[in-house]
Amino acid sequence: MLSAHNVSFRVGPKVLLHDASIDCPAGRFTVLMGPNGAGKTTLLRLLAGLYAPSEGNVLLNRRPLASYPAAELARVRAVLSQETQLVFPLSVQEVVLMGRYPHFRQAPNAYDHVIVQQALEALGMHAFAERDYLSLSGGEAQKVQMARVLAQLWEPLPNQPRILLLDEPVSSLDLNYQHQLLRRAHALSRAGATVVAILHDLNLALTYADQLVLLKSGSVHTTLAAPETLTAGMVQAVFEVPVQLLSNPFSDRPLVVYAPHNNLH
Amino acid sequence: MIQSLPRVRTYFGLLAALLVLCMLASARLGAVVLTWAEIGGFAAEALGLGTPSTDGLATLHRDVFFQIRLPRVVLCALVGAALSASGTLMQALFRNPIVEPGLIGTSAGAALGAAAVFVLGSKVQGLSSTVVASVVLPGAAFLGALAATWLVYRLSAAQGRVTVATMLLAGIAVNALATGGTGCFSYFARDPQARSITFWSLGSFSSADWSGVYLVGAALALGVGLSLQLTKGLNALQLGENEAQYLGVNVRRLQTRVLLLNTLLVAVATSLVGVIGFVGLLVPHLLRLLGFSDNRRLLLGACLLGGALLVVADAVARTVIAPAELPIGVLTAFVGAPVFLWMLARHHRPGQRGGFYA
Repeated sequence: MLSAHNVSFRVGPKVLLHDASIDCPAGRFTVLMGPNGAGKTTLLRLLAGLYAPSEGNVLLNRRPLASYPAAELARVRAVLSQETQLVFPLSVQEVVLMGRYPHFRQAPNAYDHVIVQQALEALGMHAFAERDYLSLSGGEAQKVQMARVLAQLWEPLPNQPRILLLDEPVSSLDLNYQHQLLRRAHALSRAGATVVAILHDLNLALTYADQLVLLKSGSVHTTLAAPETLTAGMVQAVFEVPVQLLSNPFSDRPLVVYAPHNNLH
Repeated sequence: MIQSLPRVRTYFGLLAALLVLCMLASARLGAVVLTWAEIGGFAAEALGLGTPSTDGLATLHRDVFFQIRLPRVVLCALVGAALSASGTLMQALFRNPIVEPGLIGTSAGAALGAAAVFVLGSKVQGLSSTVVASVVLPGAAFLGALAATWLVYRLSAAQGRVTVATMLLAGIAVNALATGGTGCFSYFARDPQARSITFWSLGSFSSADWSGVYLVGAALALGVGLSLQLTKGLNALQLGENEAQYLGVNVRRLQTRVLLLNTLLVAVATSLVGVIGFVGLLVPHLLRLLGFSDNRRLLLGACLLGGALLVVADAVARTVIAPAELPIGVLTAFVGAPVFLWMLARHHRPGQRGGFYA
């Protein structure tokens, strides 16, 4: 269980997050949603241990996150950012191998290399292993980064949690790649990992989320332990966009459609 | 194009052979041209195989080889290695392929520190010239280099990201400041000191001796040896500071260590042979074109290739206008600056996706 208790985060006089509390249980897929500037990324970075909260605390298995040494945390917690740009040429497998860096001291062993290949296969990118990362399209690059964070969490360590944090992981991906990537993350949650993702597409969130957390203006607005209980009123209150919920032929969860004030056509 | 491990091993072998070949060829050249047979004989002697000839000319040639040529060639190789290793470290730290010690103030800062010792050192009583040459001079160069590099790095790395434009501008400003300071010292200096500052700000190996070899050798062994422990972190840093932290790298500590080691490498080399630009810029770039990408291999490759390049440059500098000698810094600038401009032009080619090397 990864949880934040009444955390606030300030940069100078600016309050980016105020008194936010969230529980992200192991084995569950938690989705953070909210308009731009709502504090989603800040909350995710607090959960990742990148930032220390100005107030409140973040706990991993009831132990303050800050008490974990960086190297130890890196063996159990991986983060995928929206976009990762490289400057120098690097082969795809070298990038994925970086996910194993927390697990070896100087040189990777044969098993690390096996994990790299398996992680690439998991995302259908094994044919790209020798390619230069700089020559990849945005979507291919993001799948390689996903392979890297999967390699980081590849095997559960004895009596250790596994935490995968995703910051708008699918923004640059096409429809097929979006689902491919989120299915991998979902599978990891079913294997016992804590998964937290920031998503912008409500319907994508409703497809994968076990828990939906809506943020607005630096605070947690609504936490839904059952995403099917989402209402049009909640979406309108958070995003200030008129929507209607329809029934989804493929699931018991609603389908969100934009309801324009007047006809556009 | 990224090379696989066996190819990289082959390259290491070739680079090492190139370095040794360049060193031997360079050691032959000069006012007295030695034959390959003579050099073979000296090598056998040094290994305790042959017996030294007692012939007068042979003794002279042996002294030329062991006292003049060899220390100079070895110092060249060590300085080339130190500058190239520094370029590799700085490019990885700044995440930018156009960084080198000369552009970000390291060399100019070291020059200022050394100029201060040239002018003020003689005023301090009770210090032997040996202490000044082997401790005070490198020490002052180190402090000057560290202050300048740190200033440029802090100015250009706002909010965890290095902005290239800011870095170059900060580099210009800090270079101007340090060069102004050095100019000030040379203006107020009495004539012999001023001459040594001018001469030295252009770079020269003409005062090479074995004590210099030991000093730079020790700095190189320490600097590169410790840097090799940091290459994994530097690789991770290629993903960005946040991603490196997610991989368990203590980024602040890594930055501090890399800056200190880089400054050690550049300052000790600069305090002995003066300012030599562009070597640190070009060597890592050439290696990347050969397919090197891992920072550990880049660092080791840079030591070999950088050594070979500077040995060749020095051989040219001391033979091209013989019996006079061209300052080596002038030569590396003449060759390096056009290559740098070409790299800049490539860097800003419009419509280029995926950065500098795509």
